[in-house]
Amino acid sequence: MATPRPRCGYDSAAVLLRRFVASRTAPTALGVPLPEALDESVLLRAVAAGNAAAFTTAYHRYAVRLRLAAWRMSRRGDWLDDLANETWRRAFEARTAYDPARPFLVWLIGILRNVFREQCRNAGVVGGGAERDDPGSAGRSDPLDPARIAAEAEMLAALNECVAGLSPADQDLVRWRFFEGQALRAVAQRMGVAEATLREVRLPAVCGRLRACLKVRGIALDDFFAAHGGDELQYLLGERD
Amino acid sequence: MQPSDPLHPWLSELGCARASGAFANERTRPVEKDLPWNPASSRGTAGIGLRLVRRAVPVAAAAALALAVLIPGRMFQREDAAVPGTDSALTPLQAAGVNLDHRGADCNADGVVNGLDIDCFLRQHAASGGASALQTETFTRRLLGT
Repeated sequence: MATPRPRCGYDSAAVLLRRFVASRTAPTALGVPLPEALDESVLLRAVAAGNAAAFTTAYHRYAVRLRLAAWRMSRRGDWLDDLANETWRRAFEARTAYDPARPFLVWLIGILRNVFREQCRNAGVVGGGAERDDPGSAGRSDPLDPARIAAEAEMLAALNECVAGLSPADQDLVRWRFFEGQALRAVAQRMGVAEATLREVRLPAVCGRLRACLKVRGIALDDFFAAHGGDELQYLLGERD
Repeated sequence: MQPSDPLHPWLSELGCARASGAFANERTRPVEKDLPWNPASSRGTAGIGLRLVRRAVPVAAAAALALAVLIPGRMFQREDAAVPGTDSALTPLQAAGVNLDHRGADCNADGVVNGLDIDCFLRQHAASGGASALQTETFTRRLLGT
């Protein structure tokens, strides 16, 4: 009877390789964040299974978008940390109740909405900042609708990345004109161009690049713009000028 | 008014969000212990620290006030305290060797050693016609009653 050959060489390497791959992809219980490139559906299933490491990875992926959602909801910079941290804390405790078939951000924002309402009650704030003049509030049936706010947060996060991808001169233009709210004339002077050139050439070109960038990221601008009241837009822009 | 790009208000909104700190932790990823659900997170620690500080500050202030009031009192008591090995009723002047009951100190012989005796000594000292070292020594001895 032939004795079995000892497992060595190729088999051992395969085992080691499998272990390595598993350690890089499978949910671990060590609290170590999983790889950033992990597929979203796999990650969210691991979150729903209660895996702490998967939740940590999800936290890193969604932290900015949740803060943007908290901003859209409250428009209070001094509340962002409390709202976001409390939302993440509750979400961690309730992670096994998450349905991976649902968008994770919408689920988070559902928790955020409860945290926000409690914060408003504790602070004695009526309405919680929902009745506001901002470019997404017009025409909403529920200003705190998680799906809607999630979409806006996604759009703002993508828009931020797109702005960061502009040339330095275009970034200056966006910063001066929109982030700092400077008048067209002042921006034109700083850039050394005619105001008409800025208004009719440079700005449309920058917006065109941003639209293209958003489109690549799967952001459908029409979904947002359709919900906006034209009067409000005119008001906002008129206020700037 | 020229129709504006509907992207503009969103860019303004993005500027507001950035200014409000919505992107605050975009570049600084928290480590494991700083995660919001971690009890040992820095936020929690900071909260605990703040609570401790809020409770400790009044206590520390009260303690400092008590020390400021009590320590000087105890210092005076210490100055007035009895010298070890002597009568507990001994005053500092007595402890310094000044014998107030010494008859030689009662210069004016009124039965009481007080400031008038000093005037008496001064007069006698002036009448002695000078202030040699010997006279001064004599005056001192008489004043101290030694």
